[in-house]
Amino acid sequence: MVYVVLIIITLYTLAPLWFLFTNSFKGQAEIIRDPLGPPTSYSFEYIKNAIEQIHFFRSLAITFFITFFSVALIVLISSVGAWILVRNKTKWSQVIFMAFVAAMLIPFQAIMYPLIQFFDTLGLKNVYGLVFMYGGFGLSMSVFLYHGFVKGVPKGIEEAGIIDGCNIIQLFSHIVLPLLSSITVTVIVLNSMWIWNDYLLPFLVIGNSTTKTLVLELYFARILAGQFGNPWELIFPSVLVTIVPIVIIFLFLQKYIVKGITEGAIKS
Amino acid sequence: MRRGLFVYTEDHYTIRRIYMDFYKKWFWPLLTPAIILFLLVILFPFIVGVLNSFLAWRGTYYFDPDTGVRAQSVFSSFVGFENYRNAFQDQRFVRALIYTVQYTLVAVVVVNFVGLGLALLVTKVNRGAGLFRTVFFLPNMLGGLALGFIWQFIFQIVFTNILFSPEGLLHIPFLRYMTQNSTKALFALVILNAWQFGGYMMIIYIAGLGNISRDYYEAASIDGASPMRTFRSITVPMLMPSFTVVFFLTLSNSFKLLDQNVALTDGEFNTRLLAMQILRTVRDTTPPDYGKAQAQAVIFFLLVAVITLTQVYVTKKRELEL
Amino acid sequence: MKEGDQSVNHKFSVDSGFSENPEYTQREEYGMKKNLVVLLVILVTVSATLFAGGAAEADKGYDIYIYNSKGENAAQFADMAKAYEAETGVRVKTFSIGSGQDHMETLRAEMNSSSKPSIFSIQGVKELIEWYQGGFVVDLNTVSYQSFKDFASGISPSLRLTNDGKNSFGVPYNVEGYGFIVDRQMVADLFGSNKVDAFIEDTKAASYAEWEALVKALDSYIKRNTAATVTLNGNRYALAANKTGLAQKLNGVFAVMGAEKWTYGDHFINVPLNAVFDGPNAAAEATEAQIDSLRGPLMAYAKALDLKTSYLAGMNGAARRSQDFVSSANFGYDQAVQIFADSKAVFFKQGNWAYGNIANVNPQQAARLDFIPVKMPFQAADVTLPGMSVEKLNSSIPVFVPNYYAINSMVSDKEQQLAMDFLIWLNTSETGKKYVIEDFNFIPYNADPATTELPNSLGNSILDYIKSGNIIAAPYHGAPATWSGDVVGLRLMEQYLTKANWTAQDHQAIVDYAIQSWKDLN
Repeated sequence: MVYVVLIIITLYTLAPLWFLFTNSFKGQAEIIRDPLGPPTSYSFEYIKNAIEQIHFFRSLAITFFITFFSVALIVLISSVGAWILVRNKTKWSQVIFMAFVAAMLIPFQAIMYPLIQFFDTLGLKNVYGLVFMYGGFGLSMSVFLYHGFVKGVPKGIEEAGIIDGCNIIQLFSHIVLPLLSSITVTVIVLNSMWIWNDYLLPFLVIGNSTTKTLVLELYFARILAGQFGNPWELIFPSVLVTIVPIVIIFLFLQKYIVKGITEGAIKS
Repeated sequence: MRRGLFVYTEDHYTIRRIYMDFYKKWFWPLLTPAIILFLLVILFPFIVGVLNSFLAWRGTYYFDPDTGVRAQSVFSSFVGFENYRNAFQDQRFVRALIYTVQYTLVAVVVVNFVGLGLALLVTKVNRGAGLFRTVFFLPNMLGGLALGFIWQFIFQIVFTNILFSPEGLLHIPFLRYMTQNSTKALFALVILNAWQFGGYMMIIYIAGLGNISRDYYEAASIDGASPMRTFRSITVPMLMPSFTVVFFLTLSNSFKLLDQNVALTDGEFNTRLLAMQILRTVRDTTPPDYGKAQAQAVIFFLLVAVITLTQVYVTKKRELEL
Repeated sequence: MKEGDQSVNHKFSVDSGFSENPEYTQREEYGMKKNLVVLLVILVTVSATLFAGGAAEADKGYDIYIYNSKGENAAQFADMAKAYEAETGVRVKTFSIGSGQDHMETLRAEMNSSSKPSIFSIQGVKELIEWYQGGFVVDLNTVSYQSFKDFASGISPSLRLTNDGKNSFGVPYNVEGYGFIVDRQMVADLFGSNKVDAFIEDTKAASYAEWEALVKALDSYIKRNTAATVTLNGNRYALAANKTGLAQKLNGVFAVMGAEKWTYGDHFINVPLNAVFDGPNAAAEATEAQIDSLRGPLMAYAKALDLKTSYLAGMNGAARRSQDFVSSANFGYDQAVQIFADSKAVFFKQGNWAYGNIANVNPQQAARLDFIPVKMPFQAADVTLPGMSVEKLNSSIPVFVPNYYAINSMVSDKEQQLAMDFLIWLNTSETGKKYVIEDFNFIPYNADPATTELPNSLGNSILDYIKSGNIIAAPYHGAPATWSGDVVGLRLMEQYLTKANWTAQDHQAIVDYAIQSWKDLN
């Protein structure tokens, strides 16, 4: 009985993806006429067209670049920061931690325009600046997650390491980081997800450059192609190809992802 | 190491001082990158943003109300609390605020239920639990904008013309034209978000359920408690920490929702949530009133802060009591 | 946890040097390492800033930068820029974005940056306000560069972008006009191929009463095959006894985009505004009395809208006002174009810009199109603008400039001059004009209607109207920013276009709402 319910829910969950898949092979008229059924012919022309229109490979590369470096930056900076905040408890560490946590509540709109302007005067209104911005935004939540986790990590091994004369780099890379591996996975997964799919920040920062992220390409392709009405025959295959990399990664890493979120939930 | 030998002959107090000094020495250096990033990306723009909310800022210049043109210095553009007054008098802002509150109330309840329900179902089965978990979590990986387009299609064409039309499967007028009416659109958004985030909340609840020791359940069944009773007296109280997390996440997510709102209705038919309203304020006014938008954003921040802090405080208290 | 003790003991471990302690040298080692790291961080940050700052002053990679907010011609615009570079060696960077979407946000971000556009788009007096206040625009009448000043003075005064009648801030992209598009072949099939020219001329001059009769006769013909005779401008035309050719495909009189507010909101409502205002500037300064005087014209508008949306054609048969009608899945732009291109409707209210869309679907039909003016049941008392009359309103096409090229006063003088040279080239050189006419499908603002022949039928139709002087303006551009489309248009879409029947009270409610919201928004 439980299985029946579960299977029904599964079908419901996967249904939108089914539409996405089948309608990526249909032309505009056919999509509107018969959206639920399978395509009459499996023509790859719409998918090919979509790949061209959204400059798929180029935008995939740039999205990957941005996500990878932003997440690396976040992990590096927030892990050491949170760790030392926990290990060296002073009034300062409390204040700084509260500041990071409070920043999680700041909605993006409140800082978006001054941020863009400020970074432009620094000459960083481009992909590199974008990486820094993501670093800053991801900081709050990641510090929060690391902080909660580190509190639960016993200091014994670290202390022994220090006494044994390890320097900071050895200590952190050989001792601390391995202990933080499960929360690091959480941090990587959570941040990658929202950075990869983010629309507003890339729009404001690199919106008018030729190289755009996948989401931006999707947004612009829809605007330029369908100024009036929705060009479903472009939207569906475009969304499909943008989703494919994520799904592949997800299927490969889902064990770690789920584990990471679970642990993150428990510890925080 | 040579020094190592020396240390072990010292007393416990000194050993402690060694690593405490170590931590202390590295405190500022390790924190500096984080602090720099924080200052540059968050704090400084936020302060500038708050300052701008007291000025007649127009996005590309500061307006001087006295001269009617570009202000020569920032100070001559000072307007005090006028932006805030305008914000509250702006019907669309108040409407978006109310709509967001309504939406949040519904979404928090529904997404919570869905997450808990899924978790309960999945933990009941042995085979295929992993598969189901994967499937339910999958929607969460997809981006808000792309999803909005798919669901727009579903609501506009599938629901309206095929499934629930007079000649469709079941004739349910409420489920038709959901993107063209503000009440219906609210539920459309809830459906969308339940689909997208249900799996995420499910994972958290599964973890929480896994933490409840078998012993409690065994004791209960020995005592002859019914499933309802078990659920109420054991499962629910033990799930409070998970509930806190889920509640916190759904509350802040719902209040700040943007991408899905844009993609599903773009705010038409009075369906603007607060985040979108702030963005669109500069389109509603000519010349664009960025000062007012900034004031709205600050108000937004204060609201989110108050709500989340209250909620965290209340649930933490109840957690401790249990 | 040892947390508690640590903080207690911390008070005792003060930073005095443990000079006797052998660990001091180790601490020294840590100290040096720490300083090194801090130094490194500072160096990296400083050099990054310097590098970035330095890069900003280097060559920007272009000589002029054009921000084009009429994005439909994005690809052709880029081609045109390349052609200009090939001819003159001046490097042009272009950025095109669709007119509807966030073009202002990106433009503002660019204006705040170190690479400001040399030429940017302004879509009318409302958009002008912010650039004027911010000091971004150049008054073309007062530049020192003589050849450009002469060029700019050649812009017809009624087409200038100005806020006081004396200054001029932009070079028009093109001119546009809209009305009821009709297929000459359809007219031939309905009334006889020897009557087409006469029919169209007479319909242009017909009164609203005659127009209404025509619509009803067509509807009766389509639904019940009753071949009546209609009177237009005093002359009689008989419908063919049997439906032939394209007439057989008809299922309704009008193809209307219920889902696009800007058609019945912006453009349709613009016509009655011409009874009171002579242009956007007059509308922007409307007094309360003037707004009230819109009552009569707007009532005519409501009735005309009622007529238009009561005889709708649809994809699969006649349509009516309903929830379906305002859904973009059923009556969006593309669908309406399709309905007209499939010859299912007689009239399609759109502008000359729709030529491209129609040509994409039905190129033969696109070559046979003409405009009939939008007509409304105005009374003589409704018209308060001196020099305007009911006849003129009902026989004229609104012609206006949708977008202007403005020069950015915040860029270097050299860049401004290069920008001016570009604009002169675009509008006067052979290559430039070819792009404007053929690739962009524009009606050039400086075209001489007596001699110009455009490659598209709708453009030529507009030129005819210009030649005969039967044109009115676009005061709706001067109404409060969101009034026409997002307020009135939205209200119509949500509350009225979904109702099958309109009563006199509905008409009155529409008028009252429109008047009140203009006053509220002011």
